[in-house]
Amino acid sequence: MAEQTQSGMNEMFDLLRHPYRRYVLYHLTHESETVDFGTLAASLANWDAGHPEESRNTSSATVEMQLRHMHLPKLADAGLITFAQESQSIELDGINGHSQFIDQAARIDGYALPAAGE
Amino acid sequence: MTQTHDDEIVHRELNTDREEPAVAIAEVVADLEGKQADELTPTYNCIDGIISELYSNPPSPEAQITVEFTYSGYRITVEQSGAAEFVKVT
Repeated sequence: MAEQTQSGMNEMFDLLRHPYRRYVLYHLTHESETVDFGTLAASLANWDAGHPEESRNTSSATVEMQLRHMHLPKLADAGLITFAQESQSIELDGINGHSQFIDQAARIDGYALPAAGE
Repeated sequence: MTQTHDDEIVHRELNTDREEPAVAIAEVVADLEGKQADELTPTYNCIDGIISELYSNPPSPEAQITVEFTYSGYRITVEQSGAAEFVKVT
């Protein structure tokens, strides 16, 4: 488990800067460590479409493009995920001990799962 | 001496309000090549969010920033205004 360094934190904040990347990381750390690309993209598009803050009018095709070209490569480069092209599946490799930031952001982004018993 | 049109410049206007203009670049190249955008290398591997940065944190208009790079066989020039030029180089 990588220790929490300042540069590690800097990198994590850069990764968390985009809501799509926050959503992907939250999904992988809370829903399932491995997910099919299509499923993740559809889920993300669904959340994005209902997002109250910015009406982006984003189609799921646009979401898929953005994931493929920007967000998944960036997360893979940072060593957080592996995107297997053949099986089209995304797997969590680790979050370097920074799950607290992902969880905090998720509450503000509005998709944090309710705690058990709520 | 015959004039060839191999170095034709294709002009496109990028939507600078768009979430990820780097993706728009891939779409234009895919369109010019008659391919699907997901057949191309992810733009992130080439230009690492530089274009997104240019439009999401735009410098003052006087700066007139121009970004030039090669991606998927095209030499591409992107202006601060959103004007973009694509020249096939392979």
